[in-house]
Amino acid sequence: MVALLSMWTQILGAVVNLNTEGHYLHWNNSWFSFYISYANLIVIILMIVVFILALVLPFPHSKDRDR
Amino acid sequence: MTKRFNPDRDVAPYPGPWRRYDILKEGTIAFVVIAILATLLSVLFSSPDAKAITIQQWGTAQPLDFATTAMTELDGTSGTATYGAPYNHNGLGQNFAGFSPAKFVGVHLPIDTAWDFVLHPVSTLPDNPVATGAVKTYLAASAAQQATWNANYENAIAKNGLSFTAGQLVVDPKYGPYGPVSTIISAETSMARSGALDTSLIAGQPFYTTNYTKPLLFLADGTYLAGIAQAEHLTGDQWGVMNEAGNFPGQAWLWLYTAWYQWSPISNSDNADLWVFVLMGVVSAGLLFVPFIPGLRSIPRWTRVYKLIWREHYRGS
Amino acid sequence: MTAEATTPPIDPADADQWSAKVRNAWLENLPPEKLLPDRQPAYVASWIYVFGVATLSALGVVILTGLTLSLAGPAWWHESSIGHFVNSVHLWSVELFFFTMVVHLWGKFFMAAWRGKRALTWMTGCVCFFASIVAGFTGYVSQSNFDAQWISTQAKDGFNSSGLGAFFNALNYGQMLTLHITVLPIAVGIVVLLHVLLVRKKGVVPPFAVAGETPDETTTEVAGA
Repeated sequence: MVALLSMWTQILGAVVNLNTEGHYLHWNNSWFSFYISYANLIVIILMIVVFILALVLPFPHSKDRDR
Repeated sequence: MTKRFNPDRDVAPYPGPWRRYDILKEGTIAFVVIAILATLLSVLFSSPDAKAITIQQWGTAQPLDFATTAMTELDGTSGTATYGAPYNHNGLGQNFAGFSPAKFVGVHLPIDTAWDFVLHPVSTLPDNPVATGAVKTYLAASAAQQATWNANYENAIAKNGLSFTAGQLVVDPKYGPYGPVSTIISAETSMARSGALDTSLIAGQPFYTTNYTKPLLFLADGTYLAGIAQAEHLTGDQWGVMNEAGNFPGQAWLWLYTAWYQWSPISNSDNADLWVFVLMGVVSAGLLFVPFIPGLRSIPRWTRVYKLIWREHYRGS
Repeated sequence: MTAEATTPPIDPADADQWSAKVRNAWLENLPPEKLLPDRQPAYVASWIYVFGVATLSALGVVILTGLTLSLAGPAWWHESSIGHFVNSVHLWSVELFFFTMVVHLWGKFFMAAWRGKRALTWMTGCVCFFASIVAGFTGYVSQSNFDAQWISTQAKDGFNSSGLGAFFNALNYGQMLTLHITVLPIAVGIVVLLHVLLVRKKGVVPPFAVAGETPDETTTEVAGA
């Protein structure tokens, strides 16, 4: 069982290898510098998108109500 | 006593309607969904695990940087040596108009870099009477004599008089005399390259230990650790606090904490950490006390995002 | 003949006892129908409402994977592919935890969920957020790898500047690890429990009144309280 688990976790090590050099977005001027990884940017954008979707997507409900 | 109704603070009683709701079913579904999502992400992306750096690696890869750092530990000019509280009394530390919270709290993690990082480790070398003798000579000398030897060695470093050849540290004699200092630094460098210094620096019992304060401070005083961090985009001016190695997402929730450090009045201040600590305290208090802060607590009503959330309710009424 | 268990009748004369006082206070504030409801206000009809339970679920996965990691010791995940996988689930569930918690925070802010004497619910939620950041920090410096070395040597300056560094030493792996697996999970757990019990006690905040329905007097009665 352990051997099987060990085999699967080795095979499925990482389908997508994120251990390569990171990609970054950056700009700066005299009073502020901005530097963000694409990974973090994706997470933040995803949070905003999920928040907006949560607000606008219709919520299903059963017909039983009103007590 | 009745208070005037404040829509940002109060609610009217809810008369109904109600609908069926199963809290346990909701919890179960949510748990299963999140567990599957976390597992899927792990299968897809795994997690980073870059091996820890050792002092041996540092001494092997960059012996000159190591020796230079060791010298600053000996003569008390390194970052740790001049840090102040909680390590020593050699600096005021970050302060507001002379008041340093760290100094006020005091030295609770005492470190004497000359003894702890250099002289003591070298003095424990077995079968090396030259090295252990050099430590004895150094300790027996007056402070003024030690200062002269140290200054000469530092001068040699500044004038590129230190080199590493055939596994040996070589210092140009023309900037001397160095007394026992060159022997001590050479022995320290060899000790580092052998791996013996990693163990020697660890605090506590010589066998079991879990406190890595000393080797980590020594590593951080050099440029090797920082060089690797820079390559991984983890340094402060790279918003490193938020970042993770490679292309992994890091700690996006620390965005405001690190953003302050990028603003020039703070990034150029010697007291940057103290400023950020106070500013984040103020911002956190602001978040905590939103229910009591007029204006701030009115933003939800003004922005009307709630009309989306409760649109069904408003349609019904 | 078997003796059957009997429950003594409740006598009002015993109401001054500690146990009776605690029991009565509990039943008054958190009766079973509040703890495990089967009805909720009809206005709870938006996907934004799932992010609280999603955050709790993510915390559950964090704790379960954390317990699994501690079964085999802190070095296990460096040496075993199964251990590394469990560590990955621990890391990604932490990312999901903060993701869902922040979306939950945004949702609660725009609902002004502190209304109707729910300020303490909001505040315990904020404390959960702050405590989780500290708990997460101790996790990052307990990794026993390069990341832990770098994070601890940088973070020490922040803690030292405030004076906290004398007692909370990011470079002390032993201290950080034991805080991470004992004190902080318990602290976070207690605050999360308080937060959830307050939500159960006060109910989900009602919508803002439609124009023209604002009462003249304050009544901070809450629906179902």
